[in-house]
Amino acid sequence: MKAPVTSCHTVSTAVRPSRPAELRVALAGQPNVGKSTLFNLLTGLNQHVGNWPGKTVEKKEGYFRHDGLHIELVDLPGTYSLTANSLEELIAREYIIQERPDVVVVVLDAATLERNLYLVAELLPLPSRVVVALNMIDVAEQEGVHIEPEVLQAALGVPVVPMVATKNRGVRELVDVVVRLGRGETPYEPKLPQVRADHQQVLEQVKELICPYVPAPYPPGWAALKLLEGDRHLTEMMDRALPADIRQQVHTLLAQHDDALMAVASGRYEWVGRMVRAAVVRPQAGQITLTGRIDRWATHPFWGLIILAGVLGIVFWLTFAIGSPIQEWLDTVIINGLRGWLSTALAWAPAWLSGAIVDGMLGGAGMVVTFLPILVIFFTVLALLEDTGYMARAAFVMDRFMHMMGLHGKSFLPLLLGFGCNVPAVMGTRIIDTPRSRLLTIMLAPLVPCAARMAVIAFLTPIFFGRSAALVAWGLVAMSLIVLALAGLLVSKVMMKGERAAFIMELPLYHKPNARTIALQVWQHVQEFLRKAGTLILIMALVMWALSTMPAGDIETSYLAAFGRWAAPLGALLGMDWRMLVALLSSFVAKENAIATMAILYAGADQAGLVERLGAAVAPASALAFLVVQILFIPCVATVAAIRQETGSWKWTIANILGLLVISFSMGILVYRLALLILP
Amino acid sequence: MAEARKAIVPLDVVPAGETVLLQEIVGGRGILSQLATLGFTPGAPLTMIQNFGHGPLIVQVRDARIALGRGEARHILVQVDEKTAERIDPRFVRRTFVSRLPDA
Repeated sequence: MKAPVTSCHTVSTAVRPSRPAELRVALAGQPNVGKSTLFNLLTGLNQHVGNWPGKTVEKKEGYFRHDGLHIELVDLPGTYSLTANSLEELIAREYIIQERPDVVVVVLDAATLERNLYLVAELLPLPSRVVVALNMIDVAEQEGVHIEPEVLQAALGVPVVPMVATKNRGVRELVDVVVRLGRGETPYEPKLPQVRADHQQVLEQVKELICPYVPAPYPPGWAALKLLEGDRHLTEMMDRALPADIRQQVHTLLAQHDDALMAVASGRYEWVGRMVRAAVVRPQAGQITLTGRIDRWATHPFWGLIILAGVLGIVFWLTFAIGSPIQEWLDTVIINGLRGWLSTALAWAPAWLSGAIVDGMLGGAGMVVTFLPILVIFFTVLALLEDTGYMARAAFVMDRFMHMMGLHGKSFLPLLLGFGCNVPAVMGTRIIDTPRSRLLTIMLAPLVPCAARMAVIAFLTPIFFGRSAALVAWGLVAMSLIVLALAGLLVSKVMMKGERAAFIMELPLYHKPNARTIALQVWQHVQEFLRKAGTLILIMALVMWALSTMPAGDIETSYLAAFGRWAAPLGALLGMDWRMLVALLSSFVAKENAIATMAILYAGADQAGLVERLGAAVAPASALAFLVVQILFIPCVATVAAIRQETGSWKWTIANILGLLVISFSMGILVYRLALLILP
Repeated sequence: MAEARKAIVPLDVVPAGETVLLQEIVGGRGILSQLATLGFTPGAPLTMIQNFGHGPLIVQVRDARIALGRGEARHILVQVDEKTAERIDPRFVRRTFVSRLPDA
């Protein structure tokens, strides 16, 4: 396609010539405005979730039919503005400028119209036609805000459609308006915001200077505005495009007006203010809204924590009351049933083949399947808390504690989920909106002792420590949490240096959750887990099975055991023999494997008297060192797969494994040496 | 342009329930841009919703509730009237002549 022609003084919003049965529409909006609900409502299951090219930000695309028209819909990331402060903002605006969708639907939360209109002020100077979807007018009325959509439409000069996406009200009207505007059947004369009066002259000067050099398809007036705002991405782009002398002049002008950022933002808010004064009837001052009433408790430094503890209690109760029985049922009935059936069916095959299929592949697949109930529960709860608006409150009350380890308040919930299982913890970090905090949380999540590791601890501590078992178990958990806090501090201070992400977070109005949105989100996450992480788990489980059975068919003579014997000198530093090392390695597939491996290696195939033999064979100091390493050891394959999936990077995944390897063995050596001094 | 003697304080010392006017934000471009986007521009009225003197605080700005860390709130300087200023530790209060701010 030829680049659109833009003159220096006008922005062309002419309809792009396209095939008649096609319309490309983008959804824009700030976070928490019901954009996903609208997207799901329009596209249903005709959607594809992927990533933006080369980015870890989620990209949702879909299509629907209306009036015989095939309409493509792209869900842009939720952003407060279009200044390149974050990856999401950059992605959203680059898409609109480069891809030029026929219509951009900007979804606004009617109850926070003033702040929401700021994004409209940013969108109007771009070359796509804009339709305003005034969502959640019911919540606005409930909060006492009354809006007149026709007045707003007249003031903005662009179509405004009132709607309630969760109740499917106004959605059809919205699509009608979008189609008519896309076909060029309705007039489009947006009233653009101006820069604050004291900066209009410098804006003109910058625009005149850069105009001939602005690369297509960027609108020159918009580029000048972004330069005034000090937008990093655009400044770098213009620095490359401008000849040296002009660049010098522009930078001199900008340096003389270092307050221009505020002038531009103020100009937009002055424009917003005019729109709001025209179209909105405000609530009486001092009227206490529903959100205000709930927040008196939910964000209180003491009661907020109590409420959070209650919510989390329910989450864990649900997991164990519903998730665990289903998980067990899947494991014993489905997986074991399948195993038995397969063994019979493969009776003709050589032992290595049936072993590979029954123990290797089915073992891996079984693990993937048994993860599902817990994942579904956790994802549902996460989506529910996010959709109602409570998530922001949980982050708010936990923020001060999380900041001690360089994390964001929103990191708390995913980490807490880690006590159940590290996989949803890693995937749950999606709720964290700053990439740096999210990465750090993913890196730290494996340090939360998951249920499987707790099971190993619960089984082994009584064998080694008798009546002190509870104390030792408690100490081990406390230690891993202290290590987590220290690692967070270290990583955030040293490896991810730079300014700590500022704690600035919107507390959205509470509203009723939408079942359809939540169900679709859970479905997408589960599907993605099966597709991406599931495959990787299967492969790794198969490889680990091969290493632990080949060449002779038993673990004592396997490659894994050979590796354990080779690494024995390292084990000696912690008082661990090769059998313990092999048990650790086998826990890579699933943490609870450590027990089974120890049973085979210490007690032989009959496994009789495991408890006595283990207790006799391992000195307390060695046992303690083993448990320390075990609880801090590298994440299981499922978690590794999740980390790979969520960071999109093998580099960070391997860094995580190596980091945990170093941490676990260092702590093991430390504890072993200390224990030798204290224990008999 | 009218001039008046005003008390300027950092936002983190404003008691809950008070409505104040934003004077200026001191800080780097990043935080400035992030706050301006959310409606923290000169002249904007801010209502303190929650401030216990420790931990993050909640401010109402342009019909949205925003949670701010205390460090972030310290970067925001606001105008308070004399009655409010009397309720604030005098060490934080700076008195100055300011010209009338542009409308929010």
